[in-house]
Amino acid sequence: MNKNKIIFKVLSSTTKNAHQYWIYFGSLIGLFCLSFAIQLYLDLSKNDNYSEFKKLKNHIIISKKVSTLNTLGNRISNFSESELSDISNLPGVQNVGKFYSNTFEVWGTLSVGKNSRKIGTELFFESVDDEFIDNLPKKWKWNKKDRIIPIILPADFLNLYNYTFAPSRNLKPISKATIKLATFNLYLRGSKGSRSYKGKIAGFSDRINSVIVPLDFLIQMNRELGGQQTNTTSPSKIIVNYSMGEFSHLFSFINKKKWQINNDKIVNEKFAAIAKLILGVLLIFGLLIVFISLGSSFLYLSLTLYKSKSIIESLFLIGINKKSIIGFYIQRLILTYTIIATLVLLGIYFTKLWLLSIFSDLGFLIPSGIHMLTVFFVLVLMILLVAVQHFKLKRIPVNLMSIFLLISLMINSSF
Amino acid sequence: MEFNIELNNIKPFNIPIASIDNPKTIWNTQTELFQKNHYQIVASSGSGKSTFLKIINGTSFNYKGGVKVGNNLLNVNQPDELLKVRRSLIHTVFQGLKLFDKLSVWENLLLACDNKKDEELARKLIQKFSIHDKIDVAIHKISYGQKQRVAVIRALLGSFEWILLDEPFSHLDDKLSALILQDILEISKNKNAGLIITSLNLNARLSGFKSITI
Repeated sequence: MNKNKIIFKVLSSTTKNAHQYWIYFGSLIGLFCLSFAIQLYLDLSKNDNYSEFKKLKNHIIISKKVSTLNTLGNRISNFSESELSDISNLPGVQNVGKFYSNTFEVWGTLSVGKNSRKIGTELFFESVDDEFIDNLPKKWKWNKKDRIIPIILPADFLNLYNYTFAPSRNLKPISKATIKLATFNLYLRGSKGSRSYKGKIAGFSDRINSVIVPLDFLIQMNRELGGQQTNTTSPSKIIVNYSMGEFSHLFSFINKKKWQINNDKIVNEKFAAIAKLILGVLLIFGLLIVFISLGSSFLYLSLTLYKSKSIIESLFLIGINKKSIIGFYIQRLILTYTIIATLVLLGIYFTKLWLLSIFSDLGFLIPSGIHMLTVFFVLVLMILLVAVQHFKLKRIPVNLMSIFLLISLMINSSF
Repeated sequence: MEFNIELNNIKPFNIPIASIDNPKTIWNTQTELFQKNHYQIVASSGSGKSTFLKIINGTSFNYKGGVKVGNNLLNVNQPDELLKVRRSLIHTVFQGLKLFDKLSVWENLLLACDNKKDEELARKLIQKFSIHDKIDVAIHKISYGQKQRVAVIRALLGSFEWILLDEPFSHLDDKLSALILQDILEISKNKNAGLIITSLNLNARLSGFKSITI
């Protein structure tokens, strides 16, 4: 029989203890919570939907509801200066942006498909201060001499084209990159004249559900073609930038005034907040359990050494080297932590499978499988734990009287 | 190479000062124990026989002074060196025997074997010391006398330069003791190993053994 096997046999006679399973079960739960929080964080931060959430956060677009009176009067209610002032003074509101509309007609045409079939549509333009535009393109500024007008479309427009319009006309879907290469014709006509320009999609907005052109361009065209100044004092639609966590004041003000907001963004925001809360709870809970259970496992190791004191003494007395004795404990630790790591990763995998269906029902897609960083985290943590315990084990002295003293010290330093 | 033991003014903390100051004792002297010789310590219980052996084999450092085995100065801060000394220079039969109760007789002996030759010697001695029928029995199931024989066999296995025996025959009859001692002497002679034996029996002076006074 191998000598190491005999050493393992004699040492394992003092390590059989049901309490260890509870301690390792605690480690398992703690590590699962911690690793799952990391996995969820990675999923959410990698996920496009969540990235959009982050961009959307702190901004809300408000407009007044269109009533029958508005229809009969052929005009919609605009925000008054006092209303804008009230909003600006609400707690948490950082900035209020106004939307400006065109006062001239816009007609756009585009050649698509193999036969260069022309499609055309009447368009509208809106503008807002640059600071409120997400994904602001590099080439956004417009000068009088420019013949190409940069345009920002809502990200949903492309989805509508790709998933609804293109299949119905047997057209190929278009990517964001491809559509940015295309230029189309713009025909602008107002009471004071007409102009032709080329239009180019400069970017896509997740925040603003409108066709956005540079503010300078809109103001100039309104003046030159529409024959009227752009209404800068009482807009029909506004965008509000507010501080995170202080949305409630703004929300109750909007409800009180019976204005309308982009509700889907609020749902997204609530979802993101819930996801953050879950992450936070998991992280704190996981850390707490990990600390307690790891402290317990260190204590358990110390107690096991204490129980094995006389055996370890005897082994040292006959000259058995330290490596063989440390090897026994390290082998057990590696085996235990390998089982824990495997169970943690399996747990994450199956929990994610379960969550995938819930998330997709909510219209929120997260990638399947386990992120490599999570696996890396679990493995590094396991290696670290074994290394720390190995370091502790290496401090066992071979001198008889010192063993008791050192193990007492180890027990005291375990927490 | 000779592995003589040099004792340099050893003053154990747990031995009465009167005994340490007594010029007849080995304490507080410059003494060299030669590997070619055999030594016997005969003293009453509690006089420091076990302390002396523990100091020599590097399991106790509760003393002032120094001990050298060959070129190896025993130092508590060099644990790996101490383990080497215990493993390949000084084998000991401890008073408490220090066997492993949960292991069988054979497993206890295998822990001390370095090679097949040692295993053969172990089998031969098991037969000779009349414990062959206990070879697979756990240590806690055999008598103390049988345990003593296992401890002696274990000390004789592997390579060593000295063998220290702390009252090895306390639970054995004279006939068996003589037989075992004969084998110990023969094996230690073959290995050119020194031998120190302690005994409570003040009348049991062994011929050819030099006396150490504690």
